[in-house]
Amino acid sequence: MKVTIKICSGTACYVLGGADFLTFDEIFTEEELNGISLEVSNCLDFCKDESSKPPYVIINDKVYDNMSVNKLSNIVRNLLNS
Amino acid sequence: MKTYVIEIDFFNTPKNEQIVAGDTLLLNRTKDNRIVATLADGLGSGIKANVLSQITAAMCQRFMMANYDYLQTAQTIVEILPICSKRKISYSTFTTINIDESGSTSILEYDNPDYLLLRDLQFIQVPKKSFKIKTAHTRNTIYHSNVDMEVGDRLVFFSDGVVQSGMGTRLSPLGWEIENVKNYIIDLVREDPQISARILSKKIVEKALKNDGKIAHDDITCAVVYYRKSRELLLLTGPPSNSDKDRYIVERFKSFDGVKIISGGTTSKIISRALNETIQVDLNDIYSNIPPSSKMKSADIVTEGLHTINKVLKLLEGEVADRIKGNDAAYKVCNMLLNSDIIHLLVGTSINPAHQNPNMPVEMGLRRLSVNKMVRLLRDKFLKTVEIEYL
Repeated sequence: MKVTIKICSGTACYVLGGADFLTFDEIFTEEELNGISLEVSNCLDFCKDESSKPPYVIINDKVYDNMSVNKLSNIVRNLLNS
Repeated sequence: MKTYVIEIDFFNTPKNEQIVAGDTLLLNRTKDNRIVATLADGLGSGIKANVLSQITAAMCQRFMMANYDYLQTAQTIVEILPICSKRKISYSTFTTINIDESGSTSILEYDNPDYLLLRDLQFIQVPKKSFKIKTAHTRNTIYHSNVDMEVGDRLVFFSDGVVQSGMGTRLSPLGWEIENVKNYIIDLVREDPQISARILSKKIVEKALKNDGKIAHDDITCAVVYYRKSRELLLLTGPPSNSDKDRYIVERFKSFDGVKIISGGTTSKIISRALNETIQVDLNDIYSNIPPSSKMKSADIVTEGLHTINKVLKLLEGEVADRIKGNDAAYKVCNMLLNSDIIHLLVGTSINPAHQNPNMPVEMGLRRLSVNKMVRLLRDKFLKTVEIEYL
């Protein structure tokens, strides 16, 4: 089963750190990338919700807010190893 | 809203080893929306020819813009041009055209090669009136003609550097010659019926330069007037402040005939939901310094909002070379804007709470400011007709 990642590239997400997620081949090794299914959305539309913070990423259908490259790689690596 | 536009552009190369061209082309738009253009070819080449042609073109422009009588214009110019110390004559040829919004055109010619009128891949012979002008040394003939431009017509006019290119070579001892120039233009238009004035004039000059073995034996200038249907563009950016207006932007989008751009995540969602179309991010765009563009069936391009608009703004403010070099969403939008004549902007004023985050760059919160700057540039620098509607 591949780990599915959906990255938001809307204005708020992109400006507040989401741009770094788009260089995913620099974050993950080639072997890890084989286990990942990646999708980019022009806007996931979560930023209207004031109780959470951009940037947003959906990993295996679970929404994560306030994401960073470190958090993203840790979550995905844990899922790949489990 | 006008339906037809006058596209006019030119291309020019100076004679080999000269730093300035001896040909001058001046363009002006008058307050009553006429376009006046003059191509003058000064005697000789280099600075002297440049000065002669500049003076001639500037005078033609001023007289024509003021609707001065064309015969008196020609007489005055020929009489007051400075005299060459070597040849003891004062001389600069000119072709000046005066075209109004309806396509009604008046053309005055003095010793330049005859202008060409291309209609439906055929050159039309236009009847001309001739007038003798007397100067201190010679008698010269000027020609005046009127043309009612039809949609799709092109007027092509050039300096003798075009028709005489390649003169004396084995292949073309008499130069390129007018019939060959005509055939070349027909080939170019047949190949690309929508060819722009800029590209057509550039290709003619480049071919003339090639005839000269890449070393121009004279100043080479070509100008093209293209009377065509206007190209319209609709740019939607930002969701309306009141969602009741969503239906209005969807209807405008659906019924619009022209290039359609959606800039903004929420805006694109409104349209995609209403039209039941999916939005697919273009992964080829992913390594740019702005968010990638997306594809949607009914739109020519879907982009992220403010970040992309701010980059479009920077491109419009910058140099031409920069504007055409890149390939990200902002370059694509910029080129679409510049290829259009009439631009309609529907700007939503809803505020995204996430954009009020203090960590966001300040310009990200101000869609209206960025859009207004863009409109000013499009109107003032690129002479576009821009209609803006805030929702």
